[in-house]
Amino acid sequence: MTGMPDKTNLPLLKVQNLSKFFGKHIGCHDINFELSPGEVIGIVGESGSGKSTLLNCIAGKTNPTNGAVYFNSSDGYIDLCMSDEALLRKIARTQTGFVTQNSRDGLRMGISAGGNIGERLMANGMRNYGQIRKIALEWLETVEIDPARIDDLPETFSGGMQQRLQIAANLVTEPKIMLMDEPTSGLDVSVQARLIDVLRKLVSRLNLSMVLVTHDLAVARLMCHRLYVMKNGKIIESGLSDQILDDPRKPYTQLLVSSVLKP
Amino acid sequence: MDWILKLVNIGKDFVFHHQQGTRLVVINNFSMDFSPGETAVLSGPSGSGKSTLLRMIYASYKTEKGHIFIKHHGKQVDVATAAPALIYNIRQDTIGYVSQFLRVVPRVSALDTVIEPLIARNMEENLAMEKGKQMLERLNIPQNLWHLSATTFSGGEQQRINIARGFIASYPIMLLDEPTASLDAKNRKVVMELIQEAQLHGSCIISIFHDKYDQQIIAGRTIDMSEQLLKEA
Amino acid sequence: MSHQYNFAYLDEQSKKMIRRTMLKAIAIPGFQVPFGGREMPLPYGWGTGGIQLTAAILGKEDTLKVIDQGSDDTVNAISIKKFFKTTADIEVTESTENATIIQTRHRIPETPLKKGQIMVFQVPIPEPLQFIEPRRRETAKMHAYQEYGAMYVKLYEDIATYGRIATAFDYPVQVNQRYIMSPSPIPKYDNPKLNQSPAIHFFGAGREKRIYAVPPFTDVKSLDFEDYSFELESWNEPCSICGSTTSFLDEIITDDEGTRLFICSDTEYCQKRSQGGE
Repeated sequence: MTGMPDKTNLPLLKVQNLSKFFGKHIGCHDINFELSPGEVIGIVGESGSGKSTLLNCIAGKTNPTNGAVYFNSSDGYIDLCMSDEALLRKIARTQTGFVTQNSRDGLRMGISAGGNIGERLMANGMRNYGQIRKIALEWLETVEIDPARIDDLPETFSGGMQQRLQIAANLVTEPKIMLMDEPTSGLDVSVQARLIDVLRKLVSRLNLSMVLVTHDLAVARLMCHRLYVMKNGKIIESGLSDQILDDPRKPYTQLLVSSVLKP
Repeated sequence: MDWILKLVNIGKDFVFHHQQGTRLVVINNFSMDFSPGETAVLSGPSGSGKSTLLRMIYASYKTEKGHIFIKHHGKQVDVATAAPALIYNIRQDTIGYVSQFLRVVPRVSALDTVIEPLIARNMEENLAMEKGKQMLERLNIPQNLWHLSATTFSGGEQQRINIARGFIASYPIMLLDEPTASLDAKNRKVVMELIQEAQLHGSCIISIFHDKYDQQIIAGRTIDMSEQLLKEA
Repeated sequence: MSHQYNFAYLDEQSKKMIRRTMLKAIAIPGFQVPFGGREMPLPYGWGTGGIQLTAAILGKEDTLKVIDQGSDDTVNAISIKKFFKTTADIEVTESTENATIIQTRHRIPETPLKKGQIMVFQVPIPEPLQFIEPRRRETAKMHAYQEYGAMYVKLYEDIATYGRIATAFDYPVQVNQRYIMSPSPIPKYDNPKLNQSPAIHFFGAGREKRIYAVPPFTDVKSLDFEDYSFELESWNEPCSICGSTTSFLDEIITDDEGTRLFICSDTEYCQKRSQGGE
């Protein structure tokens, strides 16, 4: 090959031979990929294909059986699978973000919206109430939540607002990578469209990198530069999003693409 | 002669795994060079691989046989094997693709949709807006639609938004897949002007036209795609 | 002294186990050490944690003072004193100065503590992070990795809701620049008394089976924000009985008209002042 992408942009994430077994059952097997700065990759596949297991391994929430996840942290590459918990937790509250499908798992429902956004700031040592408040207000605006709702509990928010709040609460420390597990599932389409729009803007504005797990191919096409198709714990096909969706080659991918309902 | 696009022995089969594994050969050991500023029209009946060829060049279809060399930022690059990051870069600066179908993004205004290629090239937003508005005006999109999402637009309006987006930035290589299909005469004329302007800018234009008349206006070289399928593989 | 009971009720093995735990607690200031809490002849919430610690360290020569909400003569205080008089036959006192061990619920006496004195606090909820994070496994990690952002979230919520840090009791402190600790439900007015105190402070939670401690002369800092600092409550009038302007006052409503007066919460201190004619 003659031309190569900018070599100064080292991959943020290098996943190598990653496997996770639950006893005899395969969670994910021999996964390899890289994620560059500013890139959004999607992991698609049906339920039970190992998408979330893979994401949890990357996020340090599940310990993989084999393999390595190299993360280009502010202190250089570290293998997230071999790091001690203290470091992993520190990275998880500063340099990576994790948005869950169920916002109850990602937010503190008994704490106000402002408190939820402020937690990562306070966890990183910010001790000025006025400053925390100001940043929280800015983020609410960014994710299109009325700043007047800053003192309201997430419980009083709609599903879409809760997801956007979760995103704000993660992005407030400007992490290098956002890991997202089905962030748009369970939202009706208009709410989903808004979330996607907010995310797309953030990706371009913050040069954000994302690993997005989804079973929604329309979301994958809109959001992702590249896609990885998973089946039975393995990646069976990968490539540019439009290559995967317009020219699927593996039987399973063809089935997946042809099964989508088009309105 | 100097080329900007060089196809070397490319081939494309589609295998339909869920239709008894049917294999369809669409591009068969095809080679051809294209020069900067050249205009070529692909012809042939439907199924002769015209659209497939454009999509292979744009890399929305994977090329597994042969090479698609282009000059990107003055360097020779093989689209068939280029890394994804390089493909994004090629699509941003070197190859443009216009079809009649707009991929609508909900909640993004028509104007923002149109100027996206300019913003990607870091053009200052106000300037991009100005150019976008001129383009929408030329394509007769009523001003009251500019700031609305194209989701609810008619088919013809969406098509023109897509053309505006496709022609707003200039590319060394432009791939046109029936851009004028189902347009009225007035707008068709605008599109033909846009194509001629791109030609004057030195773009190499490879196009498919539904309409014989349009084809004749543009044509430099006509490539009959049905011939390549008749050859021995 | 009754012959049915071992000295101070608990058997010697249990007391030894508790004393070991207390030593560990002293060694790691502010850290909650689990212990094998014993059944006591009174219900949880009545001071079972404090009573076990007192039992474990009580010697024949000790003089015990017990206060409840600052008062020496409430039911709980009297019952506990009676319990130890019956089972250990030790001296009891109301005088802060003369006591060697002071078991307390909700207050630190106004009279400054001295070197050699031991405070024993009865603690209902030992985990300061519980309000934010109910999972104990998670709070244990938060302490271990010193992830205390969540504790500030509680203070943030206070300011967002009330315009100031409204937490008045059980105000979280950081001990020896390390562990965040709940000082049991003492008023925040008493927090500064923990800082660099010459006495030892032990905290016992019976239901939760946790012991923690502040050794003598240890830094104890009340958490706050740069722009909302820790503040002590103050009163516009002095104690109606002894005239003290430097003690924690209780508000008492004296009739149906809502006439109110303020008196010292620490009854012994108030009495001493009014008798001694200070």
